[in-house]
Amino acid sequence: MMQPYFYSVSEFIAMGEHGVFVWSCWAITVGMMLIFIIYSRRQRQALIKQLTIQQARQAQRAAKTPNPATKQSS
Amino acid sequence: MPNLNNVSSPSLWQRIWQVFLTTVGTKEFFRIFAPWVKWLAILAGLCLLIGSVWGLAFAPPDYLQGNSYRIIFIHVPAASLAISIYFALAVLGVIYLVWKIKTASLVAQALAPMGFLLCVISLLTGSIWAKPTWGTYWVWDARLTSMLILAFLYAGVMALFAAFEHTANRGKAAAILSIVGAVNLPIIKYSVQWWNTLHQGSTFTLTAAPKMSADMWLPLLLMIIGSYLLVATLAIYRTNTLILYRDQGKAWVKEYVRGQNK
Repeated sequence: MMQPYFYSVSEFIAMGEHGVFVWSCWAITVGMMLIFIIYSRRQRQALIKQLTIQQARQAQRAAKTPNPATKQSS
Repeated sequence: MPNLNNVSSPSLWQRIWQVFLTTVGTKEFFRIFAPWVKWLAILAGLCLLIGSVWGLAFAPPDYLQGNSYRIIFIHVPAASLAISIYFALAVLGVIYLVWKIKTASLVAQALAPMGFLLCVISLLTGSIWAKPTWGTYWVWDARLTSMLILAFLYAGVMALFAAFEHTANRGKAAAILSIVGAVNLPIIKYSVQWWNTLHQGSTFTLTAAPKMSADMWLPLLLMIIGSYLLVATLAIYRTNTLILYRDQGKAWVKEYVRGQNK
């Protein structure tokens, strides 16, 4: 179908003397976006973990108090 | 039924509006959009991967700029999104302030950091591209200056979300700045027409054929589509995190957390 424009890998990396500009841009962009994606995932995982701990604590408290009239805030 | 307080019963419109409001609640947003995340992510990844390889390795070089023009495949999607996301923040701000729909404020809060990041990326990649093309990393022309202002506006919106997070007026100041700052958007867009700027004019218009050959604008289009899909994915995902956090006392969230731990 289409031919790659560059004849060799070293030419591809060099980008005809503009390599440092092109690759620094791509590195910055991919790097920043990956960090952001990982950060967003970590945020969610930390929240789920925190809510799980909270739920476990509430369940413990409910199990300790034998009074069935105790209402949990919902 | 005796109407003791003389309150008029809700009209049909009011009842329709009440029903509509229940469909845009946080729980509904979560339930409807959470399944989309995986598929949008896969689609985005494919578009970005194919677009990148195509643009970097297969597209021909520019007759003037040589291979440095390949930065366009990042710079244009990032700049386009930086502007579109701010526009979305303004629209969501209006929806939140006028109709008090909380979900709108949460989506805006999730989007703001992404818009800021993409604005910074477009400024950095533009600056790096400028060095071999214009001979300088920066010039105070209309397009560049207004994009820099946009970055500061984003930072302001993010700061306002954070500052009012634990107060009753959460999200309102950020919404106001989003709306007021939107005046910058037509300035950015038309800067290359109104003023004599160093930044080039538009390649794509709605009316004429693109001033770029197909073997260049096709990978560019793929990168633009892929980036918008990626932003949509992250917007839904991050909004849902905010929803889980804000509604953590509610039964459905507790049920969801239990489900996650099975």
